[in-house]
Amino acid sequence: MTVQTQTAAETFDLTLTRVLDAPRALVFEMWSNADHKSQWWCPKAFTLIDSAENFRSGGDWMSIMEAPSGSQYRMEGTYTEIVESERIVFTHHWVEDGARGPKTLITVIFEEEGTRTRLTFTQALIDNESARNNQQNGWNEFLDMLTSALAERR
Amino acid sequence: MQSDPLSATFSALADPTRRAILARLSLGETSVKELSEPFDITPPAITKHLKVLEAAGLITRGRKAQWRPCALEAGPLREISDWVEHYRRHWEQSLDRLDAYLQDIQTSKAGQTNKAGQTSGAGEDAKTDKSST
Repeated sequence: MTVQTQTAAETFDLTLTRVLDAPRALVFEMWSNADHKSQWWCPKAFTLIDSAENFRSGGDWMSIMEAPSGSQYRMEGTYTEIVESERIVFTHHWVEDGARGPKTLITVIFEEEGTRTRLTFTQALIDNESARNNQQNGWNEFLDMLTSALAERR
Repeated sequence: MQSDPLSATFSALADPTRRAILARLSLGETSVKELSEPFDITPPAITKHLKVLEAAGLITRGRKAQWRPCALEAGPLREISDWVEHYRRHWEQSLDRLDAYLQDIQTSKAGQTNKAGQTSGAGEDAKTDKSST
């Protein structure tokens, strides 16, 4: 049974897919249960030093992580949609030195693949009116152009 | 609310016409006239787009009124590229940790059920019956 992936058609989206060797309900619990989530939520060398979770539609969440350098980074957002064991949608932005970074929308889809779970993670930018109204057409091609243009400018 | 330069850059990039203009400029300096040729919009409309791109530091425009060649500025674009890459690395690492943690949990769960009648760390006599729903 596949679930249609609905990505926000905005400028910039990042998609990652993993097939995890665990049942879907358990994988979902890794996101829905704050204690479990705190065990994996930040990158490898980082430490999660504070977090708050309101795991429900409309609920806010916050995490503060510390880099090996000692710098602290705060990220926060709001859950906009939760479908038990199927989908989690939430906003996400960084706060650094009091300045708020661009707001993004993250969609996580959980699909059964036998005894395993396919997790599809998408992050899209939603920070401004024109981004929301515009089509995503050409963004990926644009990123390709960018990469080659920058490569020529070493 | 644009509180950082990155948001200003993304705002400028949000329009497909502006992205196409940048793509054309990546091939080399171009005049406004040449830039407007592929598009079904008027030169003043192109100029409007160019002003947005210039304000975001994505292009520079020459001084000679008639020619006014436009050139791509790599700085802000590199910031965007780096930003996207940074995010990708961040999430890849987090998902790596998720994968590893899932394996740890399932291994230790399996270990618990193998010890008949015993629970790890629980002070009560209650049976642990972690049935999956």
